[in-house]
Amino acid sequence: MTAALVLPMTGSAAALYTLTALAHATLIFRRGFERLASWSTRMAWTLHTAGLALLVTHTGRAPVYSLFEVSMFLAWLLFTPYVYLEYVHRNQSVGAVLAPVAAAVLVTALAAPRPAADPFPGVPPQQLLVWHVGMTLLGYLFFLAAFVAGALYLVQDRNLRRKAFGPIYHMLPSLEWLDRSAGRLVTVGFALLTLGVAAGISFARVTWGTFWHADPKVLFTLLLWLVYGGYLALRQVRCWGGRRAAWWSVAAGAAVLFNYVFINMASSSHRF
Amino acid sequence: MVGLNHRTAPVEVREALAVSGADAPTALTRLRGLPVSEGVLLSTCNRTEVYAVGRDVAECERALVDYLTGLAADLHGRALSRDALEPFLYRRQGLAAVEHLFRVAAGLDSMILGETQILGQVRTAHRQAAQAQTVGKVMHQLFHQAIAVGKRAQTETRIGQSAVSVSYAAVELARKVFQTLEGRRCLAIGAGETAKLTVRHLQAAGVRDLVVANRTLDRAERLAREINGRAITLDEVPRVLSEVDVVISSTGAPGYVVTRQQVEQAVRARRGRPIFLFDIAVPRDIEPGVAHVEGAFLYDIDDLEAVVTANLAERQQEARKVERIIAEEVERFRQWAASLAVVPTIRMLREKVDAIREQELARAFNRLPDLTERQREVIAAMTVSLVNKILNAPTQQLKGMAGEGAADEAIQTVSRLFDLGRPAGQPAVEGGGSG
Repeated sequence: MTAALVLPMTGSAAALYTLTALAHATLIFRRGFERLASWSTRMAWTLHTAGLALLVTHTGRAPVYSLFEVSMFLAWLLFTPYVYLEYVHRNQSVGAVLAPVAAAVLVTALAAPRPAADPFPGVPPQQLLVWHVGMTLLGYLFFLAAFVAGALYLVQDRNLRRKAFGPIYHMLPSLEWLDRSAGRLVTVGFALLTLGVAAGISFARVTWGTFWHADPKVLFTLLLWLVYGGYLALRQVRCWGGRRAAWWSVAAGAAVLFNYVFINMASSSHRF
Repeated sequence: MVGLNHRTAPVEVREALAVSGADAPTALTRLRGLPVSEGVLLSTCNRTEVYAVGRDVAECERALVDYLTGLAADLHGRALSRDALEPFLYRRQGLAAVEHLFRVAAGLDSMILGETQILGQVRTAHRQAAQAQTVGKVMHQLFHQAIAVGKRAQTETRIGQSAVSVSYAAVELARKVFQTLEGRRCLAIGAGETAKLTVRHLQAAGVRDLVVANRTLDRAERLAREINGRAITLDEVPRVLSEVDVVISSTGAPGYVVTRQQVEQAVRARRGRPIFLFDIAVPRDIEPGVAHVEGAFLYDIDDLEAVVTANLAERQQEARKVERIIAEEVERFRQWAASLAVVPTIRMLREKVDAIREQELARAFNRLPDLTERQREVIAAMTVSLVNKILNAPTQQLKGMAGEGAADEAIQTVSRLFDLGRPAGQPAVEGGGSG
């Protein structure tokens, strides 16, 4: 009975996140929708949290066994810190960029197949697999946060250059802080992804006797690994930063989302 | 309340009524000679206001005006007649006076909307009056709430947060690029008044290393001594450009002092670290093309003025939220003041019930002479708690009804029910208290 509520709740949460995103986007330019933004943020998060809680109590396991569950959880992990920021510090700057990401991840959840009874077909769950999934997803989380920091850098840079001082300008921190934060987030994300990929390779070695499949997901992830590695190398070696770095982290973050949302469909061994 | 401020009175009048911190005790002592029961004097460079509680509004106001002319005569030797002062004065009674003080404390009545200094001045006025013992419970409540309003305006809205002067706007902009200005380097090319002021703000924000450039080293050195920096000539500017984070230019030179090419080189040498340039000279000192250089942020005087205008508009917007806070607090004060009217009734009710309690207790002890000390204590404590519990609800309801504006009805009903008789001496406070 209660499990039937999970889907409508997630659906409304996704719709509300879209509304949140739109309301926040207007704040980049002008005042007027602060209340709508804050109201929709809280409503969306409450529905989302309730849906996730129902799902977990219904299945009785951590929500990491299917794309649906993982997406619910990932979006929740991503959005919860912002709800705190919005509620306690009344700072609405991050929502403009974060809400669309959360909405996208939740829509993926809805489009994905519902939780299967057997999470890993033909493969017994193992320690390595848990590490592989956990580390990679945490890595995604940090990359998406870096995406948000990069996008906010670009918004603030635009504000400063066009001398357009909307409400968000006042709420955003300095460019330098955004730039450094993006760098740190990518560093952590990269380390996690490296661990996740290493765990995945060892798992493939143990299970199938090969190091890797020519799987689209694997290939794309390696590409991401190189992209983020390049980003970090450039930062280290050439004191890189600023607008170009911000564009880089935004593009790479979009690629992470693309990998997560679309490449899964083409992959045989990865359902998420 | 009687007072004048920067909008109603010219500086000649304001200065005649200004009361410095040293004069405050004398001035407050004089308040005690007036037909008012409580009083506070708020005097800043932009306003002088006297808040007082008294029985008769007209009498009270007359006394306060005389008091102000007396202050002018005694403190500044200025003979201001009542009639001469009259056109500059405004008066507020009851809740209007309460609202006025709250608006003052929140900075809504200030020359610069939302400034925060006034809150400290309100606090000082209250403290001085408390030391001179001219405040009673009404003024205590009023000023405590006024200070609370000021704090709420600062924490719950952004009314005092954005810069409203060109020099401070520059610092605020720099803060949106650099995480902290602590330890940053600054180059001042030429040094007009605005530039000097900006440099002082930057130094207050933590800028350490300061370089002053001028056409002649001589003048540069003089300026450098004045604002505590290092002097160079204009020829050295391109070289220094790569070492500094903030540039303020304000020379009277007809051409560009800093070119796009120089800034491009500097940014390359800085390996991408951003550089911030303020051009507050007219004609401009810095080539406008610099704005397009990656890693360089250029603002001219018009941009800074636009920031100030935008910030003022922002403050106007925030002022609406402050108005809501004020309305809330005025309502709270109204309820508190209204509940004052029922205080004598509550006291009489308590006294009556307590008298009955003691009488009955004594009678009971007489009839039970064998009780131990301990048993007597327990029974006495029981009667006390019985009385407290029974009286709790009527007390709260009385205050509640008073807050709803039904104080008279409540007093009558309770007096009748408990046969209290008319409470003697209604308090002078009516509808807010300050006259």
